[in-house]
Formats: sequence, structure tokens, C-alpha cells
Amino acid sequence: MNPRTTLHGPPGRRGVDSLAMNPSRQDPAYTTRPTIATPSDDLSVVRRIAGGDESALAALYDRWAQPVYSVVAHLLKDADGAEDVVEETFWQIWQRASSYDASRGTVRTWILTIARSSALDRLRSRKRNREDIAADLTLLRDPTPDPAQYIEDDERSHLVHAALQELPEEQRRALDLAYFRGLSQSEIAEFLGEPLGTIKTRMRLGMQKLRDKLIGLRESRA
Amino acid sequence: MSNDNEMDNGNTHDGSAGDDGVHDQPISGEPVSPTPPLEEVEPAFDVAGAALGALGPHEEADLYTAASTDPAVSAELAAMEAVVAELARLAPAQPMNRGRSAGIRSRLVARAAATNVGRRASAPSATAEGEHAPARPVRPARPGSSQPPRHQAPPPSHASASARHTPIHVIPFEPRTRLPMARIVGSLAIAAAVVLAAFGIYSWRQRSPAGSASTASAMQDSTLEAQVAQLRVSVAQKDSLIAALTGMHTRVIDLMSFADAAPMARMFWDQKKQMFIMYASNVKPPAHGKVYQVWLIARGTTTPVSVGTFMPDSTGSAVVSAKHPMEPGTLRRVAVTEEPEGGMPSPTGPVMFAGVGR
Repeated sequence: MNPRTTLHGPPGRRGVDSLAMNPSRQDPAYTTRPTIATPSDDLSVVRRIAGGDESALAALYDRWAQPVYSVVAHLLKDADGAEDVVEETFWQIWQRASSYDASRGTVRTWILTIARSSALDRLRSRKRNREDIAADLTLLRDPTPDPAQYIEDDERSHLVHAALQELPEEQRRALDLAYFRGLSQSEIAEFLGEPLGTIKTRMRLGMQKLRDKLIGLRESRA
Repeated sequence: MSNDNEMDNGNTHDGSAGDDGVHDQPISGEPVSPTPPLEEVEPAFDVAGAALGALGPHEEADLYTAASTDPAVSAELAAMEAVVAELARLAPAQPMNRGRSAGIRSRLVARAAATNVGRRASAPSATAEGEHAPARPVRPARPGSSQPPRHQAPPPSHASASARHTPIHVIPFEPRTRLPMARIVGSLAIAAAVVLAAFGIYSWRQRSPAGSASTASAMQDSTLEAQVAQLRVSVAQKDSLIAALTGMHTRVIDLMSFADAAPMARMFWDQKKQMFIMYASNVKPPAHGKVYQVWLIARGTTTPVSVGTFMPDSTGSAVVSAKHPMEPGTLRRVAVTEEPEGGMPSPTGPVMFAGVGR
């Protein structure tokens, strides 16, 4: 690299604007898919984090940063904001690891719950107006994404997709607006011109049915 | 029109069978879980809405309060959160920028290491059980929200005492640009120890009749007092730096070297306080009559703004701190050039370091 490059030098590989950190090195943090690990591995790592082991935080980041990013980036539609949420999520994990209760859910659920909650806070702080929401909703012609694009392109992802597709359209739409668009029940009711109680009912029924289907799936695979 | 039980108020109620019925078989063909028929259920709390993060703030607070005291509500909420986590599988994969991901990882580990150092320095005799306990929540809230956490579980027994006393080891993401956080914090601890020792000697001498009797001792006292005052100022300054380095709003920018040797520089940008602190090491002295000058370039402009000049010390290290207003997320580039003494209004010399902001 030319050591004499100036800030006013010609654009190109040697100019300041072309500088970027070298991503060529192979590092677990660069992987786009979670590394192979089991829930018990995750639990072990969280326990180490609770013990103050920062290398465990790095390990958990390597495994989960990318999936977390995909979820929050899809919700926020903002790469910078999604990165901030990823950082905030793992910082909260560091701070709260000792309060993680394995009996309440898996590490995966815990991490994604923290991440989504942080993303929702950020999303709602933007004070979206009706036009913003409408713009989001134009993407809803196919409310769930193409299965070929799933984060975890595995059989279970396809089964979750299938379970969602089995819901009545109104319930699926309510869940979709809440989960993938981050709308509150009041926002959904206002946008769809439906009573709030109706939206609540659809959401609850949809979630209950989805839970039942997924439990059935889990039991059948056990 | 849906088949929901349509209600105009916010109270939840259960629909009848039909499209919205609950007597579907799971797609696996297995019997469904023993969920009672919906028409028998009159939920007091909208657990599904809470798991989706779709409730209003008051309703959400009520639910999490109930979940913290009612095991049935807590279990239902956990089940619904698991369903929501399943939906995450349907989000399309979006690759994270590798460089930025590396930066986030590096910051997280450095901050974690710094909190470990701080914890051990401030509470060396703390019990293992209380050492890593997070701040206790004041009131329930969604996990991950800016509000305090609702999880109230006591520190688990699996957080063993031995693990809590794991030696400090910052994992460098990029060995070439190892973060000097632990070293900085360690220096702080040493400085604090020196202050305490000096202050102890000073206090002892103040109380000693023999010391106060001699002129020489009085002079020593005066010298020590001045040293203590100076060290206190130094510690306060370093405390301020540490706070800036480890804050939530701090961004870290690695600057790459253009020189033949392997100098490194790292800038910490506290976006909230609009404070920039750059650490450099292994920096060769500039040419005679020259200094290094630090520049920031904001998004949407090509005009660099100077935030100061510096000279490395005899070991090649330098610290530059400056306060400069810049909106969060608008820093595009950081660069260091060699310029004539006193600095220049715009860069003229060669770029010694450059980094990418975010």
C-alpha cells in the first residue's frame, strides 16, 4: 500500500475512501451461519458468561450474532440500527447472564427475545406515521418470506412456515404485522380498520394454534 | 370478514371453531397438546400479545407484573415466547458486514473485560455469589427493552466461584490491533494504588510527632501532598477516559497503518458526549518540524475537520482526545496525516493512518 497517499489523493484502492478493514481473514465472527452447537453447548456458554468469562461472550457472539442480526435487520430495515441492536443484545446478555433461567426456555429463545425486544424499542422510537406503516405493508403481499431465504434453511424452518400457512388468513396477517413489522395491536387495529378486540383475538388464536402445531411437531420428532 | 369473535373493546375473548377453531391436528399428524378448548378460556392477560411485543405499555407492565408473581402466567408467557422464537426462523438471512461485526465483537469483549477489572478492583473481597449479579430490576419489563429486566431469578448455582475468578483475558479480535483496554485499566488500578499509598504515608506523617517536628519532614509532607493532589487529578482524568471508552454510546474505529512498521491506532468515539479519544502505539516520530494531525470526515462531505495534533512519546505511544460535535452514525472516515508543526487547516501531508467510521 502506498505510504504517501494523501486525503486529497485520487480515488481508488489507495485513497482514503477505499480503505476498509480487511475482511479476508477467516474468523468465526465472519461466518454468516451459526456454528454447529447444541442447546447444551449454549447453556454451558451462558453459564461461563455468568461467571464473568468474556471469552464465552465472544463464543456466544460467534454463534448467534448473525441470526440475531437477520431477525432485527428484517424488522428494522436498517443495517446500522440492526448492528446497534446486536451489540446491545449481547451486552445485555453479558449483564444478565446470571439471571437466565433455563427452565423458562432455551438460550436461543432467550437471546431472540432480548434482541427482538430491543429492536421493537428502537422501531417504535422512530415514531412511524401511517404512511411509513403503509409503505411497510406494501411488502406484505406475500406475508411470509420465500422459504429459500430463511436464516436457518433447515427442515424445521419449512415446517414452521407450513404451520403458519395453515392459519386462517386473518390470524396469519395479524401475527405477520406484529412479528415481522413490529406493529402493536393498536396500530394493527387502526391500520386494518378493525376493532382492537378483534385483533387481540386473532393474535391469541393464531399463537395458540401455532403453539399447538409446533408442540405436535416437536413431539412427533422426539 | 373473519371468523373471530369480534369485540369492540380491548378485552380478549375466544372464538368458536371454524377457520379460527383450535381443533386442528398438528401438521405432524400427532394429537395436539392438552390445551383446553378456547371457549373455556377467559384469559385475564394477553400473553400472546405480550410475547409478540404488541401490547400497549400499561397492559404490558401489568402482564409482566403478573408473570413475576404467578407461575401459570409465567409458564404461559415462556411457551408463547418459544413460539415467537420459532417465527424467527422465517426471517430471511441477511449477512452482517464482517468488518462491523468484528468491531462489535471486539468492543463487547473489551467492555466485558473492563467490567471484570472494575468489579475486581472495586470489590476484591466480594463473595462469589454477589460478584456478577446484575442490577436488580425495579419493575418488570420486557426482556431486552430499555426498561429494567423482568427476570428475577437469583444467580444460578452453576455460576461457580472458580469460574467467577477466571483470570482476565481480553480476546483480541485482531492481534495486530490488540485493544489496550486491560492495560489502561490496569494502569488506572496502579495509579489508584499509588495515590492510596502516598496518601497513607502522608496521613501517617501528619500524625507523627517526630515528623511534624522537623523541617525536613515538613518539606517532605508538602512534596507528598503535592504528589497526592497530582495523582488524584491523574486518576480522575483516567476515570473519565475509562468511562468514555466503555460507554454504551462509544464506537471504536480501527485505523490502519500506511507505514512499513506495525504501528496501530484505535479511536473511541463516545457519540453521546461527542468525545473522541485515539490511542496510538509503535508510532515513529514525525519528520523534523512536523507533527501528526487527526482528521474526521463526516458523511455527506469530503472536507476533513481537524481535531488536533500530536507527537508520540519516546515509546511511540500517543493519546489524543478531543471534543467535536458530530451526529451519531455520521462519522465516515478518520485519518492521521503528517503536517507542519502547529497543524494545517486542511490535510497536505501523507496519510499515516486511516479508519472507517460507522
